[in-house]
Amino acid sequence: MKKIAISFIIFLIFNSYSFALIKVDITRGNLDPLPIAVSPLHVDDKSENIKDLDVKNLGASISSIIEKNFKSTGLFNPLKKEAFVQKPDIAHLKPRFEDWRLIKAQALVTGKLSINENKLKVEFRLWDLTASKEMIALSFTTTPSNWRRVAHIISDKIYERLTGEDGYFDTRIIYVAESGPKDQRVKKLAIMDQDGSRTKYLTLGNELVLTPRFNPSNQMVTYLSYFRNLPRVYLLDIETGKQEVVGNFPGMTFAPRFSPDGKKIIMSFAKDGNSDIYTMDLETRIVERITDHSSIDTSPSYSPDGKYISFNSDRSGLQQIYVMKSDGSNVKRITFGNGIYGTPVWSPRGDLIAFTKMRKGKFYIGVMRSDGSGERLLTENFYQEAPSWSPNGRVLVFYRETKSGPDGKGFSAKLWSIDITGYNERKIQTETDASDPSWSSLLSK
Amino acid sequence: MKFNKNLKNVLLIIFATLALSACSTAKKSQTSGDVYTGTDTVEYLASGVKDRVFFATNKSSLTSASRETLRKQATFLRKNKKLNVTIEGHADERGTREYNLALGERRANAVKDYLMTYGISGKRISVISYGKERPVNSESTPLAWSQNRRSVTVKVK
Amino acid sequence: MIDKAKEEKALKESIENKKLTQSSVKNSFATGLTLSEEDALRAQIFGCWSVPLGLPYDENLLVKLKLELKKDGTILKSEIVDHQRMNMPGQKFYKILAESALRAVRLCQPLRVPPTGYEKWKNIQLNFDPTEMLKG
Repeated sequence: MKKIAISFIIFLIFNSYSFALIKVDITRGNLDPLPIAVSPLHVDDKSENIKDLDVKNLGASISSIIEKNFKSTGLFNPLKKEAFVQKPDIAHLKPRFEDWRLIKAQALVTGKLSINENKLKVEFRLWDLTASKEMIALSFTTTPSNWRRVAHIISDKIYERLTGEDGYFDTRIIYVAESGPKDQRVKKLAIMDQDGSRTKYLTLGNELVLTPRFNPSNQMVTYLSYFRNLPRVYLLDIETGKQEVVGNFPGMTFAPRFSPDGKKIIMSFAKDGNSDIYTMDLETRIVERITDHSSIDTSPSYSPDGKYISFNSDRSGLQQIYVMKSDGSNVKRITFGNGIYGTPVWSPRGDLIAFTKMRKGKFYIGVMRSDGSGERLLTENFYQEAPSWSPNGRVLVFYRETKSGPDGKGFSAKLWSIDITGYNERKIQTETDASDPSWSSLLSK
Repeated sequence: MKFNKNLKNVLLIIFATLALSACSTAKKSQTSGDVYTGTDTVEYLASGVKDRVFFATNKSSLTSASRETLRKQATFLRKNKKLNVTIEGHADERGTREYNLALGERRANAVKDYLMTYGISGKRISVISYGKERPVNSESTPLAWSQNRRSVTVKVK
Repeated sequence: MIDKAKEEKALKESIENKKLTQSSVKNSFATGLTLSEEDALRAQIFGCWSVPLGLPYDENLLVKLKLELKKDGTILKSEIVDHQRMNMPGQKFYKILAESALRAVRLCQPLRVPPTGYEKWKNIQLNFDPTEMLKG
């Protein structure tokens, strides 16, 4: 009774008030990327010289990495520096907002750096130019050789402040570097920064290596190696270079991935021609069989909470995607669309599964909810597969192979990325041909 | 009369088309139900003993031609008791890498199992899958793909 | 007492939400702007509003922005109706959207307002709803 009375009074007040207030619904806007100005970071005159480092231009180098990162998102439009209206050091103290607004910038990044006693100190500010106020200000101190990572970390902070999501710039991608003719490809494990810089090769190419994947702390990699012509799952410590075979299986093991806690490796083991899914605990070395079916069960991937496993199986005839509890119970098929489905990978957010779909001679990368509903195909091509998620669950990296002519002429394999919206498809620059990418988590988290 | 003449023309055209298509299949098609039936890529373990068999897309079942090849391989292996072999299973490039590894393994084992039913000891046969990693024909055509869907019996030195 | 205040707030909100769904049906009789006046204003803001493209398309986000205007259409005061929500944990996307709405009206000002009837449109509320845009 009381409730009704209150609501009645409120309704009266509100109604009379709203009668006077004009309300306009704004449901459309402009979808152009946000114009942003990244001023070169001011370099302190008193900075020390560092061997192999162009200290004078370090501020410009850092800002151009930030710009490149922003551009690659498709969400921001970094403006040309020629149009900039203020010197970096002065802008960093306090921008003349109205001048920056004239070049149509809505946000501005300023900063400065100095090197003293072999320490690089970088500070930056993000300004909202229309509101004429600072949005964030942060500073970092690190060794000078880490300057690229500083640029990526700044990019992440700004991205987070402007989009509400975690960034993905301070990350690396491990992949298979390819060279040589198509029928005798030389394959090496390679690792690089997310933007394609600082490539390092982790194996020499003496044996075939495939499908590397990071562990959650990005220190270890699990992959398939044909060392001594015995295809087995291996574990590699990136820092020490130490390698070991995972388990003691009397046949091929393949398609490895880490569990979300990093304690287990899940993979396929082929026994007498039949591939099933197994896990091995890296500490106790205990092996568990998860599926037991006469079909091919492979490409397993855990949900981020570790409670479920998605995989592909041809138990219904052609390859389809299935989800089961992590102990192997409750197997459910989740794809029923026209076509063949493979390589399910759970998003870090847990809501979506990315996959490869094959239909009528075309290959698609797509996403769907983890119950199989809401399928969206993001890109179609002659051949592409093996999606891997950016740590914020917004971007997928995968590889694409071209159609080749006689003797493999014109064949190439490259890494590509695409937003889960289906927009912003980009080729990722690599030193060599590349395949089987795996995206790390944020290094600085 | 007129009707008959027309019918004759139609029939003639049908026959001509049939003859043409028969001609072209005889020349061009080296596959049957997308299993390769030609010999362009085939090598021999011994005179008359083909080293490989071919498969349909996504399949690992043996055709009657494949079984005939494998019976000859079994006979050859029975005669050469000290010889061990590796069976390499391969897939075409039109599948995901991981599935193809499993498929190659299944194809190689289909061959191994068949050889064993003809009395060859499993100890003499090892299998390895290369998935789509080692095509014999690098072109991206249905013919090349059919040549790449194969199991090859290789002598161990 | 605290509970009651919450209750009242919830009620008020639910009523306001109902009103909002009606407002698109409602026309200029209630708002005090003619349709063409409203269209002109809307079109102007469409051009100034950079929709934050990174927002999740499947979350129903809506930001209500109250403005007090001068006669020439420049902004005297701007206020996000539910501005507390901007700094609540887990409301990052709301904050991003609210900031984009504020940027839009500042970029646009002076707003295209009618030459007469100042008292009617002196206070105005803009409801920014990116859902359709983000669904593409």
